[in-house]
Amino acid sequence: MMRHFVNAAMVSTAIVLAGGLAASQAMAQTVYNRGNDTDPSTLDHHLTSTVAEGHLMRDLYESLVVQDANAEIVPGVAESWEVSDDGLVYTFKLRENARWSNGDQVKASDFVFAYRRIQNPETAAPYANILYPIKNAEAINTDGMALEELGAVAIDDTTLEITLEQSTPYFLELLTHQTGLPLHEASVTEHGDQFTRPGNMVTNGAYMLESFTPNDMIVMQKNPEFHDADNVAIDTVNYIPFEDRATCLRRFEAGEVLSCSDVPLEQMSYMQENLADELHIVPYLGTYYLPVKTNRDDALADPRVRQAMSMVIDRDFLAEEIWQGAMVPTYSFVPEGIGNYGEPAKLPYAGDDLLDREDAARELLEEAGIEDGELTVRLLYNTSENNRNTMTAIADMLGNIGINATPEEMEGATYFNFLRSDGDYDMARAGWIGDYSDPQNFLFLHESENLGFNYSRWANADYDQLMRNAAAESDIDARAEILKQAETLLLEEVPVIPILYYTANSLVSTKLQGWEDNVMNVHGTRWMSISE
Amino acid sequence: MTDIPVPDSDISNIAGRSLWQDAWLRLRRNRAAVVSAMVLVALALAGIFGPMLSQHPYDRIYPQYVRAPASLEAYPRADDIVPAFERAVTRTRVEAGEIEVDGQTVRVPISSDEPIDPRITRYIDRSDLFFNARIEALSADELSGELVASVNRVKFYFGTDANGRDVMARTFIGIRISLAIGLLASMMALVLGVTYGALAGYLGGRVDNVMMRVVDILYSLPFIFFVILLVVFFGRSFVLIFIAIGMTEWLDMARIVRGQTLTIKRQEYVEAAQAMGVSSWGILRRHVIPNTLGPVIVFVTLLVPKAILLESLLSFLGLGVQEPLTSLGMLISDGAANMRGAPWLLIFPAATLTAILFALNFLGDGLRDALDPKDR
Amino acid sequence: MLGYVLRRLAGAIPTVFIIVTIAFFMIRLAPGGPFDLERPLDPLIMENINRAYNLDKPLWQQYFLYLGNLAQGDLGPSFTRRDFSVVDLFRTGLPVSIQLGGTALAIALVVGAFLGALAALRQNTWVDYMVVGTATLGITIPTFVIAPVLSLFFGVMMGWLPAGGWGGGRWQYLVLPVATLALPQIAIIARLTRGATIEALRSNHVRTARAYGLPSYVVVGVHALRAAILPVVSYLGPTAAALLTGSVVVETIFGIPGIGRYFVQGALGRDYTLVMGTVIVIAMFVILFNLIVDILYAVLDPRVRYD
Repeated sequence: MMRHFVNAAMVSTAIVLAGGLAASQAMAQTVYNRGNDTDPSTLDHHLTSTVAEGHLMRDLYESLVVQDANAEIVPGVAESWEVSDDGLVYTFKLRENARWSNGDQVKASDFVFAYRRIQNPETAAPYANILYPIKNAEAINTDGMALEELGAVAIDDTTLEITLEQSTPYFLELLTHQTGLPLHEASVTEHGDQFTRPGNMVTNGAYMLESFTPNDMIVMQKNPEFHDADNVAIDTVNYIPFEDRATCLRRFEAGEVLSCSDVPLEQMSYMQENLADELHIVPYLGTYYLPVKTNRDDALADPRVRQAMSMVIDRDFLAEEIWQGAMVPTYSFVPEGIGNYGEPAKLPYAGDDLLDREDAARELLEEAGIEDGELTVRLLYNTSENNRNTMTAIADMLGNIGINATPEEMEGATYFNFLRSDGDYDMARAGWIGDYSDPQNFLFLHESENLGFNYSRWANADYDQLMRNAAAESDIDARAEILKQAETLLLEEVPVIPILYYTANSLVSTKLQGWEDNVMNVHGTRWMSISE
Repeated sequence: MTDIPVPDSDISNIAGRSLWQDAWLRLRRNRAAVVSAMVLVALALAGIFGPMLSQHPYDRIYPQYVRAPASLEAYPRADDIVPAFERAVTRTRVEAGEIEVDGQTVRVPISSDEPIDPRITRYIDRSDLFFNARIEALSADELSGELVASVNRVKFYFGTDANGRDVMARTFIGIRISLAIGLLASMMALVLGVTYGALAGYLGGRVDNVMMRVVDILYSLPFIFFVILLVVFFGRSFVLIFIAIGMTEWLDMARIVRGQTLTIKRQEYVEAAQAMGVSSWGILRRHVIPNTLGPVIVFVTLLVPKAILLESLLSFLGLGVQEPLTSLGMLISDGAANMRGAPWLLIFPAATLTAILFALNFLGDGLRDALDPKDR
Repeated sequence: MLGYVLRRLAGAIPTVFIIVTIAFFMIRLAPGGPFDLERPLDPLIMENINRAYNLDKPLWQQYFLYLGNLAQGDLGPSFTRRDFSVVDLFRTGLPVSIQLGGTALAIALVVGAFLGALAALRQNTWVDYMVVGTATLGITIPTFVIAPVLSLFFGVMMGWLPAGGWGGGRWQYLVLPVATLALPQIAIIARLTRGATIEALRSNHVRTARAYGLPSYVVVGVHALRAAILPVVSYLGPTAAALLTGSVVVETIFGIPGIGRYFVQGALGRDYTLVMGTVIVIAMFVILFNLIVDILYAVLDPRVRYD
């Protein structure tokens, strides 16, 4: 009797549950149409480098540690980790229930496989250098050392030991970058360069790849094997590429996408008036700066002349009027709010009135022996309306102290090739977005042997020495102090003139919950939900 | 056939008027064409002299008037004068009293603990809104006085752009550049395309085949790389832009003329001329080319806007005209991006381009009618 | 005629070969490479990449490698979309462009020819002025202005149609991009038809037909239009090729996954294989449509003969 009753109760509960489930599935297949900057150049994260690709990878894969909605580091595949006292050995304890989308367990060896593959010169990974802090990584990638020498070892299935070249305070931060993600060894080996195809691709993140139509969309489904799948609210994410920001704005207004990863600056005032709640303008780890050619025997080789040019640039005007508030004026190179640093060094005239700065600039030019109207500089920039307006305005500002400046436009690929290969320019523009939150990621650009990045070809032995000292220093505060000396030196010589900080601008529907503004501009879909 | 003994040229002697004189007479009678021609001349004059006569140079930046809407009224607006003056006075770091606006002048009493430096007037003069700043009624100890400045009234009939430049002056310079590019490139396309197409069509056979395959090849080559290479090897210059555009536009022209020629060369009068032993060149010049002129002129009126818009594509790719110069295409494409925040950036250049193209069209139709040999 | 067509098709092979050769070296002469991005790369890593893509080999070796692959129908892997081969990209993109461009072309042809003929028959009446006026407006307003205006009005303000996207090619998604593409073509075709019809109406054989007392719709429909269509046909050859291979502006503004964007994306990103692929596809379309035009010429006008 009792037994009978229980059965009946169970059956009815089952019916209710099944019905409820079916109904909720039909109703609540939540779909998130997410605007992205562009299509990825590939879904093989070892070959990616852009922020747009980072967004995709964050949803597809889970690293040892991950960034939560506020970009704080929280456990990912690793449930805990220990760091040796000298900061050189990291031991990660992987969670038992971490699964690939095909049901396989995520093992320590999957990370070792991935970290060896990215350093393999045959992989030709553009961003292999992000993981150079791992012992022997650089030697393997560029000097032919054997892959097995890499300082990443699987002790057993759930224990991973990573040894570093030298203590690196931002190492955990690095692991959240897409280069730190694991790979499913079996499927990569089986499918070779086809492993990213829908159907072949095996991932361990909150989502898995459903389809990829170039220039149309990338569809991802929730990964049922994901260890935290119960807390993932959105079932389908459609990543839509928008080369034209205005298109994303229109589709956002029409309710066709729930977020845009960037906004058309020309329509800033319109959005501020009409989409005030949806428009997010957030400080970002990025600097817009003007490299000045320093390795020629001319006036620009004189730091006083460069300083004079820096002085008369009205950063507030550029930020407020030209960029419509989508940039922040700056007198430092390293962005504010960066980790492991504190307040960045500042140019001394940051608070002075522009006209006084012009007087000081004229004095500096006079000291350097430059007559009014004698100096002519070309301001080179790559095609974009905002760059054009910025350089036009700067040319006008330089004119105020008797420097003849003319803007000169160059098509994109030609431009970057020209800068990289020691092209003959006077002043150019460049931007740098931090890969991880550490000042080293900004200051290493100007090391003299760093030919790919050091556009101004500035060579300063003291600076190089400071950067080496900082790398060898394991105490975070002492290291920050040394790096600050380096930045101060950089600002005294201004081979690069910092003018603006980037901001991350996005449109986010009020229906979309869990999009938290943060300085790294990371927004994993697994932390979000959609309310009606 | 042989009973027509008089050669062609004698007929025109008897008639006394050449094809061109005749056309000119008839064109003058077409009112739409005459009006269009006058509009074009007026716009061309605006392009040539507008930048010189304009109140603002096309490259002058007014930092205080970024994205100022188009208006017949003068700037600054009455309510903007006091705050702007206040901001400027704050920069002088002297104590300031109540600001008074009196018509064209603004005045404020000032005082300071140290003698007032007369050079502080430059803070005021630097503003786009004021000029002729001076210190009046300076006390004997130089610790107080009155700061006076005149309000600088400026007008922006078409508004200002994202850099604070006068859109009207920029539209004038845009007309100059775009008309020049449109006309030069079309001229080049016309000369090359008509000659090439007529030759290919008239000669026919293998020659035609080879000539048209060359057109196919040129048509398929990546235009953007062609321009990038031109820029790399010859540097950026205005001439390059119109050569690049002309070089691509003549291909369509050649194809159309060749098609027409294929039909015309089978006409009785061409066969007659051939029978009389008129040279190929003579036939081309006197019979074939004049008879293709109808569609050619219609096509040229389509070519000019194409060339003008192609230039804006080049600018978009960073291969077009260089700042601070600009073109109508560039102004319009900037305007299209700004159409919701600053519609005046789109409206004025776009209206100008529309006027040019309408005029070209009607003039083209008039020319076509006037030159039509069947209508004589 | 068949012999002529076959000869032309055979002649296409050397034409394409010349195009491939010139384009290959032209593209490589341009400064910059596929990995010259805003984000610079470490020079040593750049060496790894160039080695992996054979970009470190001498140019002539790369050329023969490319030709070898091309002979097997392999256009190579894309440099900027490395999950796809160039052939993959065209396989997904070309049908989209053809659907979009084909619809626009058909509409433009029908509407344009009709309006043009109408204007010619009612020359110098208000009908004529209306057609010519609207046609001029259609040519005047650039696509990069029309496209956002249409999307803004019908998509955002009225909400009648999607503001962008492809939606698998459903009709709602087609309307606005097709309209954007067709408008200027309608304008041009109408103008060309009008001019040519006026010309044809004055020609001897139409006058003769009229004199014979044939009904005017026969005169216009058969005799006049047939002659009038010739300049339209020669205009349509390259235009059809251009429309069917996609439009950069329309595809970018409406977010359509066609192949039109690949040419500009490829050129600016120095995606050598993708640009070469686009050049080859465009060349094939140009050659094909010019052949069709030449055949149509002979069909429409018996005086035209190919010997």
